[in-house]
Amino acid sequence: MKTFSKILQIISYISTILVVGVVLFIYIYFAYRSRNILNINFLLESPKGLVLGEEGGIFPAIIGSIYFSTTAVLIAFFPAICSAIFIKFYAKKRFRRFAHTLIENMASVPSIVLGLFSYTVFVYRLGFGRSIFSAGVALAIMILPFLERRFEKAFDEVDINLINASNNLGIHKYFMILRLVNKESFKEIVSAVLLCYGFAMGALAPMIFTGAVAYSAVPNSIFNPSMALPMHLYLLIAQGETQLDRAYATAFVELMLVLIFNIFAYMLIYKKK
Amino acid sequence: MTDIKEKIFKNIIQVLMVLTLSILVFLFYFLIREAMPLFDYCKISDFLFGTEWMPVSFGNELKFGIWYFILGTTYVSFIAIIFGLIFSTGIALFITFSLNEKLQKYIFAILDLISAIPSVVFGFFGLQVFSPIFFKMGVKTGNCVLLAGIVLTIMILPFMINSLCMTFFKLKKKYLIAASNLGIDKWYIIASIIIPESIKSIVLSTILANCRAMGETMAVMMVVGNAKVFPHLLGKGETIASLIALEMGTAIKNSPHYHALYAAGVVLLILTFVINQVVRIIGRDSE
Amino acid sequence: MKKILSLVLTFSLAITMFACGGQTSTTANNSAETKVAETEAAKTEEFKSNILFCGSTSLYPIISSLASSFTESYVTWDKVNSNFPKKNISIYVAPGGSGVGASAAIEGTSDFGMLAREIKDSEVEKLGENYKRFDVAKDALTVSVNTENPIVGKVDNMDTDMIRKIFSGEISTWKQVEESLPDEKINVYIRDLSGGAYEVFQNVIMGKDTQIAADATQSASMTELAKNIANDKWGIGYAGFGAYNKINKEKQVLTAMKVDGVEATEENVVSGTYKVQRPVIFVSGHVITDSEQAFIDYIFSNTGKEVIAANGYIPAF
Repeated sequence: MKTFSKILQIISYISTILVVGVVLFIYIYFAYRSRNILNINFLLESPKGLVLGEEGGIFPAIIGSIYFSTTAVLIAFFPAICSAIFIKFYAKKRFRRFAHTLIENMASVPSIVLGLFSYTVFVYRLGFGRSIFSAGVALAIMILPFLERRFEKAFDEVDINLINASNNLGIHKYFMILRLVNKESFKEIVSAVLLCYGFAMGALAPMIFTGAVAYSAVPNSIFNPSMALPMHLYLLIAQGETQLDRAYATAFVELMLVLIFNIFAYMLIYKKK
Repeated sequence: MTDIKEKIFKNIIQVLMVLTLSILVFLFYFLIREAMPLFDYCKISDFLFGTEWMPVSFGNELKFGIWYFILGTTYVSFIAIIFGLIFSTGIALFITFSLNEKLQKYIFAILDLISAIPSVVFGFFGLQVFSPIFFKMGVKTGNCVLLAGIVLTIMILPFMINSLCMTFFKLKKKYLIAASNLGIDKWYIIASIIIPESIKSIVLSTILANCRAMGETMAVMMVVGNAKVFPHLLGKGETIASLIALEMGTAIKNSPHYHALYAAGVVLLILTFVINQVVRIIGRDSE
Repeated sequence: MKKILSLVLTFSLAITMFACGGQTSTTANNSAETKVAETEAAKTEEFKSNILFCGSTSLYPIISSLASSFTESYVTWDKVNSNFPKKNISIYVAPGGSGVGASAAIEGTSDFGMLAREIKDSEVEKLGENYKRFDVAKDALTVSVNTENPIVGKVDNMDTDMIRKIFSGEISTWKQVEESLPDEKINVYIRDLSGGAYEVFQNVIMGKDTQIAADATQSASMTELAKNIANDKWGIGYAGFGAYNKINKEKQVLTAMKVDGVEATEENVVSGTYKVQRPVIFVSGHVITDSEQAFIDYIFSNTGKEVIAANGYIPAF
């Protein structure tokens, strides 16, 4: 038992250091490799060059990614919050369990399968074609369970006395819930949305054949396809050697975007306390 | 007046909730619908256990065997959860027992960050950093099942750690305060009581993580080598998810190839679904 | 619980019916007749400012690059031609495969289909009477080995039969290729199924009855394929002409075999004597609009030539 406890202790220290180290290493490595490319022009120019991406920047891809994520969050937000409210405040215990099971299952659906789903239903059957919207739906289904769970958690943290008191005062339930969403849980909700926004931004599998394209100008409608950061990165890597520097820079921009969204999300909830 | 509002509110909530919960039904319905026509071309057993995949005809016979892809998927995710098991237990213990609340928050923030890092970036990272190492060690092209497993490990860690921490926090409350009052070494308690007590939930969270691992697409696809062969640890393999991502773009709508990829998607979906249910049922018994 | 269940069911039913309805209307579009009617309707409609290209992974980098510089230099259509309205130029390039390119053009989900292979008669038929084809470039596949391989200098020519046997795994060691070579296993490198290269190689070399060995390593791009052979002393693979030249720019790391005695040179590809080659084209089944024509003219300009060469292909015009 003595040695086992020693081993556990060592494993626990080493693995924590390793994982934190890997994250740091990824950031530093990508920053280092993209140091020559990364400047304001890279962010604000279109990709150019005889072989696309050899020159110029990634502006349309950044804007495209914002379009994709915004669409996804807009589609997923209301279903997610409504499910969370229903499960938390209206559902009976058995139904709550059933709903949680479904949502857990939804969370484990592989993202590529969501791409397949949107491909047959939205791209073909409903005739949206390859578009930001079609991909947005797939992304929305991907982030929906995560949003829902975080919303529920946000409601969990509300003082139970508030709910009881308002019930006793005869305040209507809907009024109380709306207040909850607006005030008490507002920060947690926004932070959940931010986290999922970043998450949707990095996903490629749901959009790879439903809405992302190799080249487009800055998007102007969600019913057109668009470039997206992960797709652009993937194609740069696939095209190989000559564009690797730019691939590093693109990856670093993605990493920074994700980091910024995470920092904002955490600032919101940690500052409160 | 407010009664009506209350009613409207509740109805809106209910409809949207129902919509959310029925997504799974649609998912299964439409995927199966697109997959079914495949079985006009090939038997279900040939599809599942066939070892040859030749979905496009150049005058030759069409073959739709996804057995190697199923194996590849299982193999890669198995490696990932084995590594993941060691690391996540270690980190979860560290978070629970060695950190104060403030530091815990930072670590959880880092974990959230890991789960938000785009999988293409992980794939790229694996390709540039690990692949050359494997290549030097004599692996052809450097890409192999083991590499995919390693990359995947990092990606599923946040998920595994989160669920393990929940268990550990509960047990910490239950035992540690009493034990530390008695002056027993913390790690001794962990090794002798907390680990044995949480074995079951460790196993369950590992199996659940397996679901995630099987569905991961891009990162795995970039480093697994993608050859339609029996997967070996240091050899190439291909997973169902990477098969779909690689070939869906080239499959002509309503061709057997197209239906076969949908069928592969259904297999993947069912695999994760079944594992999920099994874990749920076992988990429920223990409650 | 019951109420909710019934709600779920009604809802699923509604969506399903909606979706099925949508499907019948899209499949009906397949016939050439509706296609023509559609394009005529489009002509009388407003100006077409969006152009969508879809298909071959070989052609998309070329069109992407041209679309980018076209958009960059003109921004709005009225700058291209003063008769055009002042609308933003939007050209989309979606990578897929040759087969998808053809089917997207047929279904009308894309304005142009990009192909890196010869178009099939059945596809031409489906595209209807407005079928148009634009030959952009030619691409040749070299049969390349690593320069460090002792075969270089001993053998410089392989006939189709030999290549077929190597790629199908019938010949599995270098010793079987040439007596004096060491008894090392041959490692075969190919493109994945999505590359039109696979199909070309299958048609020209492998023929109907033989398959490429299953343990051949697939690469996601031609650059990667060339790199893989360059990294493997005992490798062989069909690196594309462009990728071959690119990787050999600084130092000869790959050596191409003659195929049936014909060397893979630009002249031999253009004249057609080198047989492992394919056309890189795009097709459409509708009447070309003025705006589309403007972009097509741009593709077939000197800039286009430059871009095609930079991407490793041989211009076909």
